Amino acid sequence: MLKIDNTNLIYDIGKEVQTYALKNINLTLEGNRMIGVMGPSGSGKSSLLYVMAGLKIPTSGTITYNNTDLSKLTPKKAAELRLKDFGFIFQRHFLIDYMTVLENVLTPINSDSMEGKLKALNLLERLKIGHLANKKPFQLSGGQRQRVAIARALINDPKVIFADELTAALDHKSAKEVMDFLDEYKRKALIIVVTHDPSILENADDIVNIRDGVIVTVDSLKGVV
Amino acid sequence: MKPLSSYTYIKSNSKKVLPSFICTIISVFLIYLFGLLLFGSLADIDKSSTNVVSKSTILYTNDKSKPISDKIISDIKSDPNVKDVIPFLGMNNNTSFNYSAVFGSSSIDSFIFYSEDVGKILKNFNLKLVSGTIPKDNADEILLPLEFTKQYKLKLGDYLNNVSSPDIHFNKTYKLVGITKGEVWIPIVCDVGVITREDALKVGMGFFFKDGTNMGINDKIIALKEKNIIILDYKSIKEIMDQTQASINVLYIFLDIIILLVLCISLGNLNYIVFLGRKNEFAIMSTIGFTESKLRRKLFIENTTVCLIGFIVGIGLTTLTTELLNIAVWQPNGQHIPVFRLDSFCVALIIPAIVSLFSMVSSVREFNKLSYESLCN
Repeated sequence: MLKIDNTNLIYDIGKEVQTYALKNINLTLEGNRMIGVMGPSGSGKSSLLYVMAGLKIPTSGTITYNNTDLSKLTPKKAAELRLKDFGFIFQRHFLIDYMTVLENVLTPINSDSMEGKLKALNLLERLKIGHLANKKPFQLSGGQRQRVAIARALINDPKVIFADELTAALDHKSAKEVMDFLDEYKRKALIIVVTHDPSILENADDIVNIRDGVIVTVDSLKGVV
Repeated sequence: MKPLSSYTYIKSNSKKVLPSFICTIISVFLIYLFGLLLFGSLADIDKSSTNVVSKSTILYTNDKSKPISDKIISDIKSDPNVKDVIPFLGMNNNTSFNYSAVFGSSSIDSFIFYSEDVGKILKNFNLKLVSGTIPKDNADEILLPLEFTKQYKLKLGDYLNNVSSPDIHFNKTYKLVGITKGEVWIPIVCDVGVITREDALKVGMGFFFKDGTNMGINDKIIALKEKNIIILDYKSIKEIMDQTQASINVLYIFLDIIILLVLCISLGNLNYIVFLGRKNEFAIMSTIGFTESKLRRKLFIENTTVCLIGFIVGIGLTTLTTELLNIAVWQPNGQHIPVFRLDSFCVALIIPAIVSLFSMVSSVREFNKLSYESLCN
């Protein structure tokens, strides 16, 4: 369970004009489902995602994950939590250029075991890029690279997947395929997708609408938030 | 191989690590070769100095009107650790050689002994008479170490005088009658004249120790403070040689420090540039959940691996170069440089140890700036 209580994230503290990236956010996310975070550019949706992931420390308020206050974790414990329980997909793929596709996928578990390789290959197959396992990122198209990044995010069986504008660099067809794949995966994890494109959230269970750092509405499409 | 292993990185980035690798090889080569040359040459010079007195002592009077006292002779002869007391008629500075080691040279005078004692001397010094015979008394014959004969291109039966080489200083012509091989280099002549052995013993003597670690008799003689007595023992010769070596050591250390500094700075900058190109790689790993210490360790292991492989190749290259030079250049000239020396090896090992640590300082300082936010920039 991911719970956000009275959370504020303020930029330019101490200056004349303070900017609220997030203001009085209260949100509880439970169960394996897909949550969309929607809002225009600069609305604070990415800030919300990174605060929830513990990558950004809020100015006030608490973020708890399974009753653990993320702000109280040491950097080491926070890193361990991210490695074990979280998966990240970014707007850009951020693959490691000298590694093969397979090695990139295996990076979070840093494994060369047969079991790990089979798991990675299985993920790549499901993402329809199994035949590219030994290619380097520069040999792939943008859509293929993003699929590799998705496989990398899923290799450690994360309980929460944070996806920030993951389809922004993809064409509509690739974006649809990627979202369909994540839809299949949502039975196993809580997936939080930040986007400004409502068309990719047709499989989302709930949509959090955010504007100027404030949650405006929470649309529960298939359940209750 | 694991994705984060240094092998994966080095295999895929051979061009990036090549400059560090080559720099390490060259530095190890220079430091190790210099160490081998320097200390190998000193070891050669020791063969005609320290080694001569490592198991023996030479004693003589510098005033012929004041012979060595009976007390000293009797003390030496009665010492249970002393064996083979041999009359020594001095070092003949009218028959001296210049021996050129690979690094530096030394002047070596020949020793005058009775022909009948030369066998004992060779035995005590573990010297092998590889060819020829022992010089006869007053026959203008000379016994030389093998290395000298190679250096001066001499063979048995050759006559040596000032004309033979500008580095041979003889007041007359000697015939080369024997060649020795071993860890002690002394040219021996038997120009004993007409003096009896008994009288010769009062002019000078050489004596050997049964146990080279117990040379107490030397201290006893020095304590007598007889002004005419000159004693060439291990302690005094070692002191003189150590003084020479100390200044050479300073030069060696100075050179090592310069190479290390240049290498740390240049490889530090090089690694930093490479690191800047890998910032996204480390930022994504940090975001995924690899701790800063794990990433530092990864960078350190990669650096150390490159430096260690460079070190191994550098040592191999030096060994090969030294061996080839030994075969082609030095050994035919009576010189030799060992292909391995533990002290020089350890000094060369400092290179990968220090460089791999210090060359990543600038890169490591960037780690605390790594975050998911740096991915967005």
